Amino acid sequence: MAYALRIINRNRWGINSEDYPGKERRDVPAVTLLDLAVKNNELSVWVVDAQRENLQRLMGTLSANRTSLDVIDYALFGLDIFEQLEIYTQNTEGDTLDTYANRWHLALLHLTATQVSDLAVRIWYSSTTEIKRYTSSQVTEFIIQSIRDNYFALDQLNPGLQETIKKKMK
Amino acid sequence: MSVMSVKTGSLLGSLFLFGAMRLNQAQSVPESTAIIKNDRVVENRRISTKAVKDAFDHARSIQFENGMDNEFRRQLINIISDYEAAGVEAIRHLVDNRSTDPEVASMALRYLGAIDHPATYRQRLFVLLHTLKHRLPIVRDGAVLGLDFLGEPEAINDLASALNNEHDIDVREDMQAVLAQLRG
Repeated sequence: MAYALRIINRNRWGINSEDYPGKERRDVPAVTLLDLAVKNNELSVWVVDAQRENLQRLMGTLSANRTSLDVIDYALFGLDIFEQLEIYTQNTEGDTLDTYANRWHLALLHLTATQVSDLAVRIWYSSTTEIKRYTSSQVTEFIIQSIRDNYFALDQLNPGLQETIKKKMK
Repeated sequence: MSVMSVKTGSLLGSLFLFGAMRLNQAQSVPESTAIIKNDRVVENRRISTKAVKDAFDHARSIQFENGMDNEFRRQLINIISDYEAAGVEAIRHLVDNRSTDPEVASMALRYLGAIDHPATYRQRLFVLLHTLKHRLPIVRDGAVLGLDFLGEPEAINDLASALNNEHDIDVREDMQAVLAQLRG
């Protein structure tokens, strides 16, 4: 089974918390919607293969798109959630430095407010969902490996991040 | 205004120096602090504690996004660049303050570790180690992530000890990841 991956902020997804707003109603904290903010009623996710062989490459290029070195948090969940919520999906070209990885981009289209909030609930309560983090040290390794594998070049990074990675590569 | 002259040849010696400064200040934010370089006092600087507090207050309205620059991060860089040890101490004071927003405190610690400023390395390391015992998991997590940026192997024992006492699953995961990295 392939997975959908959405970049999030783990601090907003206290799935392991003993208490959180809405728990008694099987609801989720409203702050999770910040990680599902739509543009033109669309949302971006990425497809990760069942063996997760493309996960690190994806992490490398998604981290490389940012302005500074930092942790990267993500939610990994079953693609079947979209079908359950009748969300229309379409494979479209992603917008990262790694042109090959861009083909793993999936757009969620024509989203309604209910679908987005239901998506947050499904992600939270699905037994297969994983909320994970790679630390900045791990992110550094992913970016450096991607540069060494020629997935993108050091000088394509944002100046602040480029400076940090350059020092780490020495 | 007190001026301290302490030998700073070792990491532990420097950490002791910073600890002594903290005790003398009895939980008040210092308005002046001796800047010590190469074992000698070279400068005393005054810091606007209000400016630091304002930075923390304004940060409450920021939606922090991992890896994306923001005004708070830039302000902390400037505070440390301008005020060095006094700036770090002012930040520590606000992180410890119960009225500080926990997410802001957490991000401040993360940035404290990420900032490239060798002159305050020991002070920042001290603050991050000290904050591993903070009462809130999100703040302890910020300290762990700050230590990951510093990459200082001397932190291994403190971090391992903190891991033994840590009950929060997410913080434990981060501690384990950072410990693995530091142990190489």
